[in-house]
Parts: sequence; structure tokens; C-alpha cells
Amino acid sequence: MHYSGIFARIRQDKGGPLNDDHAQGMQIKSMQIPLDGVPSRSENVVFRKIENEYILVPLLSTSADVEAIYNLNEIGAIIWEHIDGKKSLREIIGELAEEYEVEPEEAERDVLDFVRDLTGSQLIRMS
Amino acid sequence: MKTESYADFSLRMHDASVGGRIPVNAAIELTYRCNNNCVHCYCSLPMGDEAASQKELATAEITELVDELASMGTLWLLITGGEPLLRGDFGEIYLHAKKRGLLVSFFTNGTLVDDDMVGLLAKYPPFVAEVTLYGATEETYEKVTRVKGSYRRCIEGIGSLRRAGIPLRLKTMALTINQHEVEAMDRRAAEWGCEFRFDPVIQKRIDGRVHSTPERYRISPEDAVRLDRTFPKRMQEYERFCAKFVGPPAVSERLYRCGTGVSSLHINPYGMISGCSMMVREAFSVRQKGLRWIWEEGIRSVISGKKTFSLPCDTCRLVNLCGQCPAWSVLENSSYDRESGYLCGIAKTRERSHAFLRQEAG
Repeated sequence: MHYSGIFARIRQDKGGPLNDDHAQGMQIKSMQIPLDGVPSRSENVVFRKIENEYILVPLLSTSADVEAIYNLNEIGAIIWEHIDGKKSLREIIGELAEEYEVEPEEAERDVLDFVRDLTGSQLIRMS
Repeated sequence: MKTESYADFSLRMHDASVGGRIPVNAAIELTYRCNNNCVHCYCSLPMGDEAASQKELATAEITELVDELASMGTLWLLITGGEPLLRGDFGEIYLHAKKRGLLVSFFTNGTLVDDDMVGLLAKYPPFVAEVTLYGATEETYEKVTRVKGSYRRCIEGIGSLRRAGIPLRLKTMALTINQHEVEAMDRRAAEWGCEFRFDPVIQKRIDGRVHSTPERYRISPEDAVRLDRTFPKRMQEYERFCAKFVGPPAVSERLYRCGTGVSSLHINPYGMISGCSMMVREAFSVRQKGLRWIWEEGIRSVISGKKTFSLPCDTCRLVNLCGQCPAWSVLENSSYDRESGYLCGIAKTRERSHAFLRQEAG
């Protein structure tokens, strides 16, 4: 199990750079995420699985980037499906570590990386 | 977070959809009726045509189809017509498709864009809205649409969409009566910050009606080539396309050699489903057979059908350039076994005129 930031924002080409947004990336990496926090999926995004692609399609123009759609890797998709607005991050990490037989530290790192990325893109919110 | 180009993602999705035979692209015509009366249109009916209206798919039938498309893996949905905004349920259908996670685009003539529509689109933006311009001046535009006041309404509609920040592209069909304004339309689009494209290929009516004859407005092959040359970017794209696709065609026993019905399907206003809008003979009624049967059995049988005749196109190096296909043959000649001389003429004139296409240029 390894999430490793495989979460791509897909943007229509308009001649701009297609690299990581460094400043935003640093800000997200330094974001503190409490393990007792409960993540909820945004109601304004639709999850799709088509063949081997996992896609998040924003609905509203108030999404972080109206021209973007988002692509998850398989681990990202598994984490997404565990987010139900009721379970805390600690509970999700525990479930994933057990289901996929990985060390809790590894599961925690994957989940926190994922949550930082998606929170930064307003695709999930923490409460 | 990583950022990936849309082109790379799109290519990956299309490759996956071909391998898995998934209808990743779908188009639905909500109506053939239109508030314009364009001289060149291959499908339009009067907006008050009650008989046509009665036959059209109902809102619930369309939203059920959208649900089924989403479950089958469709990602890109094009809503078109006729004029799709003529239907009072356009907004409901559009929003339903958005909420199923489809990337929804629509084609419109722009004349029916009102405040409610702009509000909806501003809140739930389309993947792209594409408006057809028929001229750069009122006189030319309305010579094509044959409706007084349509130019002003179209320009106002484009203005409303632009002000609301809706992703917008413009296009035109190059006709005998508006070809002199194609460059001006391109300049206007650039002023508005919109991409612009044109198409010089006019098809005959798909319903065989004789009350209009789009083919009378086809520009000559020489004029099509002249327009090609007017747009350097178009020429560059063309050259790249030709480098890849012009050459001896692959030997195939199949009637349909294009990708139709492999990763795309088309739904007409009356629920007839086929691989593309021109395949009028090989369409199946969703009211008699379900969408899944049509995709998995009906369209599959059409695209795997064998060819039982030969055409000069079978060995022509330009076949991928001209777009010759059995559906075109049927529309042009009411028969599969005669090629379209019209398409052939344009391709051969391009071959003579564009250095990168000549045999000796490789």
C-alpha cells in the first residue's frame, strides 16, 4: 500500500506550466491534520471509476479549480471509499492497516498525504 | 499535487476505452427542431413541428439513458440538436448529466441563452459550450439562418456566456454564401478570447427530405484549399495529421474502418442509437431494445460487418484524410458501394495543392 502523492490534477492545456505548484505544495505539506478529525467528501464532486481510472469530477464553479478533474491511483480510490463523514482518520487508518496488512505507520502516512492533497483542493473537508 | 495535461489524460482514457470497448464518448441530439432555418442544415425541422416534438424522447427517458451511460463508463457527453436549448428540459437534463459525473459539452446557436440558463451554467460549468456563428455580419449571418433578428440574439448570447466566464468555443460551416467572412469570424473569436474552427464539408440531409438541399451551399474543393491556407495553425495540424495517417490503407474486410461504435455512440431525438450521427441505416431503437443490448450486440454486429464489394478507396492513400465511409456513401448515393465524389474531390485537390501531401514529398 503506497499512496505517495499519486493524485493528479488534470488541466486543460492553456500554455501554462504543468509542474507541481511548489508554493501550494509546501503549504499543504505543512498542514497539520489531527487524527481524531473526521473527513467528509465534498458534495460537489462526483467519483467515477472507468476501466482502471479513478476520477473525481467537480460539479460547481466554486471548486478549487473549475477546469480541473482529478485522477486518483488505486490506493487513493480505496482511501476515498473509506471516507464516510463518520469515521475518524484514526479509525480509517486502522481499517486500512488491517485490510491490507500493512504497518499502521505506512497507512497513516498514505492517508495523511491523501487528506492533505484533497483538503487543499476542497474535495474533502475535516471536522 | 501533480498536474497532468488534459491531452495525456484524454489519450489514456481513449486507449483504455478502445481496449475495453467502453462508450467513453456519447452524443445525444435532444431535438431536430430549431428556431433557425439554416440553408445548409442536415437535420433541422421547424421549431413548431408538433409531430416531431411528439416523437422525441421524454425527459425521463433521457435521464435514464444518462444514468445507463454513466454506469457503462461514458465520461464525455455532448448534448446537441437541432437546437438543444429549444427544449424546456435542457437545464434539467444538463444538470442530471453533470451530477452523474459526466463531462458535459453542448452545441448551440446561442440565440436562446437567457439569464436563467447563464445562471445555471455559471454555477455548474460545462466542459465546453460551442456556439456556431454563421457570418461576421448581420446580412451574411441571416442569409444563412433565414431568421430576422437571429444575428443580434446570437451576439447577445455569446456576450452573456462570455461575461459569466463559461468555457466557450466558436465555429462555423464554410458555405458558398459565408466563406468570404470566415477570416472575419476567426478575428472576432480571437477578440473574444475564444478558440475558433471551421468545417467546409457539408453533408446531405439525413432524412432525405427535399425541402432543403444543403449540398447546394458546398464550397468548391479549390475554395476549401484556399481556406486551409488562410489558417497557418490549421495547416500545421493538418500536416501533422497527414504525416501520421496518409499512406496505403491497412487491409481490412470490415465495412466500417473508423473507430465508430468502438468507444463512442450517438443517440438521436427519437431514441435511435448508432455508432455516429450519419449511420442512419444502422440505428437501433432504445424503445425496443435496451441501451446495453444496442451497444453490446447491435452496434457490435454493425461494426464487425464484412464488406462485400470493392471501392477505389480500398487502396487510396488519402482515405483517412477524406473521411470516406459507408455512412457517407449511403447519404450521398443511397448505396454502400459507391464512394462520395464530393469528399474524393476535396481530398485530391488538397493532395495537389499542399506540398506535404504530394506523393513525391513522401
